[in-house]
Amino acid sequence: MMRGGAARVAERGLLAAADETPASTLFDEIVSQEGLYAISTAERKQLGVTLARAAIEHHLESNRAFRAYCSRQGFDASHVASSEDLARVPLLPTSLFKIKPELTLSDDARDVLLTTSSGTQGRISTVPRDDVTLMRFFAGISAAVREMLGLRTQAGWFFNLGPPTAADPHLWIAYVMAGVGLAYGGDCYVGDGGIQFERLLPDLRETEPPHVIVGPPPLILDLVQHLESHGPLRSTPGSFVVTIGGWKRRSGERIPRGEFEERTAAALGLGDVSGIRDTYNMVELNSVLFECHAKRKHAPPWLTVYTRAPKTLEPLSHGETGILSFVDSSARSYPAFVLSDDIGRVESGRCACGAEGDSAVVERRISSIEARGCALKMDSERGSAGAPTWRRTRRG
Amino acid sequence: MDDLVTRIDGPHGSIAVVVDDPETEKIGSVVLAPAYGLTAENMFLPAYFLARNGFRVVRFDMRNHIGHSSGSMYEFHLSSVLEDLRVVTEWAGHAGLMAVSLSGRPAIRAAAERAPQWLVLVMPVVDVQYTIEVVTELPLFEMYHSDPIRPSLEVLGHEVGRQFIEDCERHAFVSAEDTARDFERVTAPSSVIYGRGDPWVRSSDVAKVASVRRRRKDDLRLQQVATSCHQIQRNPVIANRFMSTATRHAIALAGGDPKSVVIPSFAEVISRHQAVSVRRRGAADAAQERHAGDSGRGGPHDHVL
Repeated sequence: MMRGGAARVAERGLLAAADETPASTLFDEIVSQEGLYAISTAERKQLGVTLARAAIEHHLESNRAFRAYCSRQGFDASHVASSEDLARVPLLPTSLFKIKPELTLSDDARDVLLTTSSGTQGRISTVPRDDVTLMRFFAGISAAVREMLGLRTQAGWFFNLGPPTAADPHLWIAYVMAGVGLAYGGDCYVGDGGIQFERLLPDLRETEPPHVIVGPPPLILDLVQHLESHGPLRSTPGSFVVTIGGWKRRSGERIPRGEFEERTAAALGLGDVSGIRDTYNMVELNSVLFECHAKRKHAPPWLTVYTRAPKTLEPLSHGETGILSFVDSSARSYPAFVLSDDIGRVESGRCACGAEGDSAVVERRISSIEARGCALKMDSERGSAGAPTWRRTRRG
Repeated sequence: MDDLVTRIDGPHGSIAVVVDDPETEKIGSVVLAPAYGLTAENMFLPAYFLARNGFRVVRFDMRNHIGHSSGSMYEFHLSSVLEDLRVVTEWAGHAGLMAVSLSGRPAIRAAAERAPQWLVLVMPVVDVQYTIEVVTELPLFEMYHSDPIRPSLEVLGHEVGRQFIEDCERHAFVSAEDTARDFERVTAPSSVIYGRGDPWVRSSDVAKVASVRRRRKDDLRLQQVATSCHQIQRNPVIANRFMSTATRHAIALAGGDPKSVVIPSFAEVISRHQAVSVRRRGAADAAQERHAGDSGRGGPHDHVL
């Protein structure tokens, strides 16, 4: 994975900072580099701090509510001198995106798209994304597909088993798949009645591999069950099944991940389970953690992951289970410094796939008791930030 | 977008073509040649930038490549792309030619043979041997001679037969000097947009090739754009940067005012692509139903969406 280009990452980015194009930032330069995930731990930490500081400075300058929130906690960008200091970055709980999403919008954000969660876990989150934020999200996906799946051109045909965008163009998971479709081609094979097998199966048989089948686990399972009853597909080594999202309303049908992967590999002719990859994203986060072949969900260099104790919100050491928290430097129209609704832990060190840096292990959703305690803690820290109006926005 | 999906059939095979009508008052036509490893469908974003600014865009899948044209990727070679360009530019009529990356090399030869209205090269590969060997990290041209039984080479995840190298050598598609000789014969007004920081194409090679026309004070514009990668489709920010520049140049070469350029937002491009995908799916479903109803009577190749 590493081709020696990573050593030039920081240098290139700093040169680019003086470029004539406003969007020419360090982030935009590094995201396209080969060997992005194999950057050495030391370089990655330095890069993470540089990117995070730039993002914090931007959001402090452009977001009145975030500035007030940080001010009350006595925090500013100068407090981030090392990667350990990133645990001090004030976080936005996901509840803020559900209750007062207008507080998250940068004052200078123009023409934002309001992207939403599905709301199956309760209230809907709304996240304002401007064009740069969207482009960086998809550049990150492209980097992960290249580095984690090893697809170096747009050759793979994407079979989208995600929700169709026509039903709700603001739904983030559907919007993500629409953007992936733009970059990689492919088609959506889900209609009102579920998977359109009459279109999907001929296309799977006739399209030259590698195939990349993307969808939530329950829909992948529907495909697997159909193939188990009608006969498996021919062998397509080098192809991938990528799961996005969770079981949601179909959690009663959930099967153990190991069984899911074994059955999927057999039905789709993948040879083994190494081509079946899970991902982690939530609408509030502007990056995706992609599983490598060693089944670790790696954070890209612009994303720092750590855990916090559910009761105190104190940062925990790597390996300790707590609430997954993210400092994502890729978003421009809102601060993507997010306290998630998931419990998990962070693994560090070199992975068997060659990647360095942190990876997240998601163990379960946060319980309502934990969420309540967390909300109380955040409320005491949030105080009364002045609310900007919900402006310059559009939907779809 | 995707207003006509058709095929051009000939003695050498079949070329799948997509035509996009201009989304505003027409300023001209352009044949858009895809980069290696990309299809007409993958070129939606560049095509939309052009259509949004008044161009009728003719996209196509290269033969002997991935996509819907005839031949397999294993048979890929640049003379075949050159033949595609001859066929498609003739079919498109009076039009400019825009080529991205590796297709820029045969596009220069095609433009030398028969002048398009204008020529825009985006990150053109001018020293094929250098670029292919940087990409594969192998001395392929040397290996071709020292290992006569090596059947194929892997280029960006695709298995390509050894005829690629043989074709380069037989038809002078190897070095920057080869390219300069072709470029010298191009008379169409041209723009070359290349990357500052492109790891696969040396700026000095582009400058060397361009110098043959600069010496004769030709209508040639050169512009460098900052990048950290050659494959601009990897990053929408970089794709946006290159296509904004390329579109401005195309407008100017077509006689328009480059200051009037409209740069679509990425959200707009996704939205337009979504609409086209839904329409395409509807057309495919309708065609399938018709096919079932006709019970094998067959139908025309073209379908207008």
